[in-house]
Amino acid sequence: MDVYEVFQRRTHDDPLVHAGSIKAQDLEMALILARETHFRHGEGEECWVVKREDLHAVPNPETMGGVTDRSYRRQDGYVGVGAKLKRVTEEMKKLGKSITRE
Amino acid sequence: MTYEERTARFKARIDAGDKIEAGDWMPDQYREAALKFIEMHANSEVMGALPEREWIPRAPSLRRKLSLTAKVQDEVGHAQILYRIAEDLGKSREAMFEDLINGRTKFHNVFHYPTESWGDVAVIGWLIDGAALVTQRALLDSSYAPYVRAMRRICAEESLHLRHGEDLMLELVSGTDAQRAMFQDAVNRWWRPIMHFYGPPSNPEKDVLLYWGIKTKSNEELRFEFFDTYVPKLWDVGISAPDPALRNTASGWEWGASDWVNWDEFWQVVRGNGPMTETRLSWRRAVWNNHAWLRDVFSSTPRAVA
Amino acid sequence: MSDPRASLLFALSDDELILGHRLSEWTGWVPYIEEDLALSSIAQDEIAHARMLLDILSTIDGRDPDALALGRAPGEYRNAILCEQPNTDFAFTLARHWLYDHADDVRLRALQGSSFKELREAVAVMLLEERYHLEHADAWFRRLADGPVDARHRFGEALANAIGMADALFEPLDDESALVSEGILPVESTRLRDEWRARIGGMLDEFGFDQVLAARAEPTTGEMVPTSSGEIEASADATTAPRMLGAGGRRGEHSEHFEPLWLEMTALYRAHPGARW
Repeated sequence: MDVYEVFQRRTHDDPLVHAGSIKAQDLEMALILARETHFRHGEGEECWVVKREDLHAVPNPETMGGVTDRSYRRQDGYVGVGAKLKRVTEEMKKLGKSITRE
Repeated sequence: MTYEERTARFKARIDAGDKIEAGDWMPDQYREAALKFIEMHANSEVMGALPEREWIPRAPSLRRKLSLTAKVQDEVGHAQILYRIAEDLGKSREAMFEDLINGRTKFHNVFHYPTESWGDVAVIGWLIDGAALVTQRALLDSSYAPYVRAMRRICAEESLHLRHGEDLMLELVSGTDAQRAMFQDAVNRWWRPIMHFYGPPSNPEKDVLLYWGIKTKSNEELRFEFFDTYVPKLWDVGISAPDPALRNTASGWEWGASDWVNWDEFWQVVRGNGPMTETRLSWRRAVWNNHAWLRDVFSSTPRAVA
Repeated sequence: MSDPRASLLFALSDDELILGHRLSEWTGWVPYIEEDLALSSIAQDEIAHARMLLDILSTIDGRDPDALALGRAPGEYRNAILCEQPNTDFAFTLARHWLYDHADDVRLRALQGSSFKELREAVAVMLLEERYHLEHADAWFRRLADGPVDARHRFGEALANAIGMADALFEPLDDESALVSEGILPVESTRLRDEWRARIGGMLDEFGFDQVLAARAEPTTGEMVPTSSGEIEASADATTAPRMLGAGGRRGEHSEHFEPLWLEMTALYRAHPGARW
């Protein structure tokens, strides 16, 4: 028997998340059994299985996203931008530099 | 890096609250302790299904027949989840099953006893599941990540079971005199096994499972949590516990009258000499041995026809 | 005068109840844990279907659904004797499951056209769940039929042992003529049986089990199996039951396996009249 990893999607716009694993003789049986091992309480709208050996982890995950500062690629590289915009707008208004179009 | 250095680094990770994944390097001691603990947990789920399932065919209403079947099914489901996790620590499910049915590995003391009435179903569903939930919630902080993920799902289902058990209990204590007596009698018979379930008071310093963070709370801490949650409720519905020493005092819980607690019985039971141990294991052996042909279907035995 | 609708509902609900009862005996015992969960869900489906049908019957009969399920005398149960047979082993259980669920599908599809509105609506719901039963039964059928020689042999024997009793699922009902003329049962039982035979015959042929349809198999020896109480004992062989092989259930005449099942299933309910659980 092979190990099949089981994934679920709670509702259609949720991401696929790992739900556990089962042992089955082949794909058809894995699909039949996963339904009742992992979804009998109505845990999700979709159930997926994949043979464990067909799942491959990207190596060296600790270097994913870069080791040097790549914060410019992520939201956290731009923390405070909104507040800054607000502050600058206020300043411009005070200085009478803001433009209103009516 | 030497083995000792790697082990020390591993221990430092655990002490810092880091979680261990199945593919991580781990010292043999950790792997063995985690495997033994999770295997025992899995065994307990699959053996724990048996006392309750005896009452599925006897359930007194269609609704109870369905809910009890589903409840026992969930226990089997927990065994499925836990055996998968234990397998990934390096022991095949077949080997674990062979060890279980041949008495080489253990399961919880409470699953070695007979179920004599529907009152027992209520006690198991409410108090034993409640006792187990206290220990399982504590495992949400375990250092072994796959176990924590399993425990999240298991605890969610156990919370449902607790409602199921509470519902069974409430029907009995608010029912006829015979139903009430049925429940009190079951509590009287099960209370000692429930106290034994947490194990004897032990020295947390010497507990290897606490050392590795596989377990995070001592026997006595867990027992008192159980008292806090369940004893007041039990007393509220007018059901007594048979331990003559049980008291809620200003300085905390007192329990375990020395002429009542009987730890010899506990040691006998966990060594596999409980009242139903051999019977249940022999039934499992019979089913297992009669279905070797079914296991062959899953192996690569050549097919009968092309 | 009895309402013909009741005779149909008793037959349908008792089949589901008694088979569901038998299948639920496996919960906790199946020697393949993933499958234990699947079979337990199927058992729950069958019991839930019985409950739904008994709810309808209750409005005709007057007794509440639990009283109907657990409070009748043994001779009042109208299930086909196939359903009450001991589980025997996993081969027999799967063989019965396959034969029964195809028969159930044939009969439920016919009942989609029933003149009896409440039943028609219940059947629509049941069919949604029965689809999984068929997929499950067919998947196992192919694996055992195609499997190693021992599995194939056991499964073939089990099919041969069960086929006569499965045929008797279509034993005519008490009020068959009234049921058919009023369109409650839109297709008569013998025609349903022929349809079922044709359907399973195709798959039996395909897998070289053509001998099964003509089976008059010799009784096999007992197997060690879990019984309803969870005790393991050498079962009486399923094949000692009368052969239709296997008829009588629709008239309340059961095999020797029914009474112990009934005693266990109803004892607690009957011991506490009026109690709530």
